[in-house]
Amino acid sequence: MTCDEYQSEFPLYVGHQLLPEEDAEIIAHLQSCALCRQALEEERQFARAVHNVSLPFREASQNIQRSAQKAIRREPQVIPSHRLPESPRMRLAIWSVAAALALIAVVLLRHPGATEIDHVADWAIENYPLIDQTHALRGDPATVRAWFREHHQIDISPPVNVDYGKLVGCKMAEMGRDPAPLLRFNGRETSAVFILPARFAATFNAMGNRDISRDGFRIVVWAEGGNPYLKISRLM
Amino acid sequence: MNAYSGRLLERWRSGDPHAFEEVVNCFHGPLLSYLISLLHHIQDAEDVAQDTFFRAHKSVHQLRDPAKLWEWLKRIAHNLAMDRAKNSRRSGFATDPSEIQTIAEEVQVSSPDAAEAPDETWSQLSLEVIVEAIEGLPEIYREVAVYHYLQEWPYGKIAQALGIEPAAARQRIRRANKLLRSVLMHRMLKRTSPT
Repeated sequence: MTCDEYQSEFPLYVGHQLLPEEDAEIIAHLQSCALCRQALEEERQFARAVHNVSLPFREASQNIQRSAQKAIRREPQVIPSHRLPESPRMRLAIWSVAAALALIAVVLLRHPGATEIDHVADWAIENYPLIDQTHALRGDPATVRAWFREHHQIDISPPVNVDYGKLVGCKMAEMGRDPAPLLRFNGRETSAVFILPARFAATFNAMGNRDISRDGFRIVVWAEGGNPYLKISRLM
Repeated sequence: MNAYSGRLLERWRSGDPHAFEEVVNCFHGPLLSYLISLLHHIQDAEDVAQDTFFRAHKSVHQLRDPAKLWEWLKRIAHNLAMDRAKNSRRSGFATDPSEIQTIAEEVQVSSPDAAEAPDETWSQLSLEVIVEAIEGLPEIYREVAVYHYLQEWPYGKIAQALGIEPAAARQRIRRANKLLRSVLMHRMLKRTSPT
């Protein structure tokens, strides 16, 4: 590869999105090319500047998604009038079913987010063994990415500026997975904190912190800084 | 975007609530960027983007051609933005002062080295400047730039949203990066050069 070709990979390299072997090739080249080292440093400065000034954009982006999720829960389906059946009896049947569903929704709303909490709690308990495997991961993002790819066939993008002494995961929701893998693991307490997809934030905000014990685990969910979090600890 | 948006539109029109969430997920970034370039105010842009999706959800049955989905959303957004601009006396790019404080704290927490003195070249960089530069890119690179720089999506997700292969997404990111840096560098030098 030419220097130009190496430098064209820098946007993905600084974003930790390259394959381990691609990272290795770039690292090897950088050891002998001052020009590319300089170019890499410039790319890092650019990426950092863009990351910092675009934070309000991502905040607004999350707000838009949350508001859409709330709206769809209030009114999940819009049936255009021309699709409603003509027969009064059929219409009555449909409105009766709709009323029954509305009543069920009201009952569920008295315990906001109950089904969602159960869903994420189930997931956290099911994936807890993953913690025991991933907590041993240390070091560079490429190693972590390679581990997830090999063991779980998923491609994660660790965030920039991550201290990998403490963090071994990132939001899987960005990749369309539900919910999210390990954010932090404390080996002494056998607890782990996950950061969940943004869509859970609305529910957690509405119902406040929830603390449940189930199946030998304690699970706490909360929203902070616009992000939904889950902490799971093994009950001793 | 077109291949994916075809299937998405059919599901949305048939009343699938998850399809609406997917539409928002896929299009809200480019729409927000477009609206920021029109309104020059992030809060207004966010409000109009939300209104756009709600209005689109109410009238999705009117859209027949999936290839026109993005243009249709933009048209709704443009009309709402013009109404908003007429009613607003704001000028310049503004963020609520308390929001600036929150963002500053978040930058401290999430980016420990953001506290370093920024390089002079990029010290004048702002969200408005980046958005204007992105909106000036050819469309094929504009979407990628929004997803990559503003939303910080990985290239796999970008590929899925655009209905292209991951390798093609990577290529577009490379090209968008070159174009964007060139445009922004030119703007930064203009701003800092003596008059």
